[in-house]
Amino acid sequence: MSSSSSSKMIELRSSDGETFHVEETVVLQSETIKQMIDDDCANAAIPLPNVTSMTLAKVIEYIKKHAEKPKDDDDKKVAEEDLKKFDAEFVKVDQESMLFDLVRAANYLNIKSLLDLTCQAVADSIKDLSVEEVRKKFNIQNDFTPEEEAKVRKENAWAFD
Amino acid sequence: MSDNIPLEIQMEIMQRLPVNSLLQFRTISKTWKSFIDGKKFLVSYGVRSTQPSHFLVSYELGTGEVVRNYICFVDDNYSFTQVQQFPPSFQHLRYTDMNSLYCTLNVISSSHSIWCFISYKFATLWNPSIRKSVGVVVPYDPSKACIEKIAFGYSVHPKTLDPTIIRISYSESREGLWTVYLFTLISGYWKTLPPTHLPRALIRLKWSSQIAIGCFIYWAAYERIVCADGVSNKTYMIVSFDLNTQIFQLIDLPNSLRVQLPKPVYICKLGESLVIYGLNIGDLNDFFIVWVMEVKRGSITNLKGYLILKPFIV
Repeated sequence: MSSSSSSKMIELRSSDGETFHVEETVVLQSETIKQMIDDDCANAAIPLPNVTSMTLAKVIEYIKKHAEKPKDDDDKKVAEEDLKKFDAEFVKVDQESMLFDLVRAANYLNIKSLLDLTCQAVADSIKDLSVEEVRKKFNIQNDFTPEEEAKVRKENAWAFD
Repeated sequence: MSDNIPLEIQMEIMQRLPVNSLLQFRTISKTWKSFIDGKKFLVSYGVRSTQPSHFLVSYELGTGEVVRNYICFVDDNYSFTQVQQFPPSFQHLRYTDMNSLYCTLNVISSSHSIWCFISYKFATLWNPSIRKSVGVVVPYDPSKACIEKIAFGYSVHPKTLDPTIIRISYSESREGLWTVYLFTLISGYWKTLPPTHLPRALIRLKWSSQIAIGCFIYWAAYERIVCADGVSNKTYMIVSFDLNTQIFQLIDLPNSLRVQLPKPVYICKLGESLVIYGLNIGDLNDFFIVWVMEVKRGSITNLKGYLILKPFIV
């Protein structure tokens, strides 16, 4: 990091106390952190009490990749393809809880493209599940009476309340 | 799962589900049902849909006084679904006679994948990707019905995603100012626009000629001017309506376009450009003329004209 073009480094601290150093230009993809920097709250390490070090490492991997700038137009096409592949691989996580953690982190850090990517991945993973399986996954209480539920199921036309 | 997923994230995920899953997941909980059935979802789900290729077929059936208009939605597999099969529901009204509601259905236009139909005293906002619609009661004064002409404008605001309908009426006897009501789905009510927002009283819009680009709605329009010797002349122009300021503006046509203006004139949208087109009947040749232009700050730029000669028939 000796070149003069390298930007200021920002220090981020995860919920479990680990610190990460990321270039300011990279970290500005997070609207939440951008706001903190604009408000001059980034002189010391920025605490991120809602994000674990494991999740934060993944998020940083993502924003670093998305901050790469192609040199010319030819490079641009290659880079776009490359980014698509990266995104597809990025959401193939071993544990589903990791995907949910990433969704939560993207939401908290307000990184629009990451939120889009991870929400779509969750949507794809639940679209073929049964109602009961989705309830379980999201920890949702079924607050319908059996009669109400049967009635909703019967409605095939869509109506507003 | 140890931690719950916050509701706002659940909603982000819901918006990315295919229609079939959504239909089924309405039974997950009352919160999910009310969100999927809500009007905010109707709009945001449509906006996210990336298939602008859907189109509608509109036709009439019947004779004499029992002519009915029908509108069909054509999906990717070229199968037809009649819009009338999915009657809208009204928020503050129990309307039971859906038959008469739909007998004079007219297509106004689509914006952000949400279609707007007007039928008599009702408007319907229809999202074909989830086959869902909401009905809106349109202001209607029976005492004026035979002396006024009505035009409609419709667009979804590109930033707020609020569907907006405007109802324009002017008297047939060419007297008095326009009366304009504006409705937005989020506000849920109609308001009258003040006279300062309206164009000159004698401007007339071409029925069903509206298009929406960005924050503007455009119509082909004309103004009839009677000269001292009693001869009347029509001057053609474009009328725009700004969704932000809610003000109408007149856009003059450049001379090159004015002298070669096809009549009747039609208006449509190509990408983000405005297109004026029509058939010119010439002395030697009939030709189809197409003008493509951009509108910036109330004036026309990048005007390009194209002539298409009638094909030579062997």
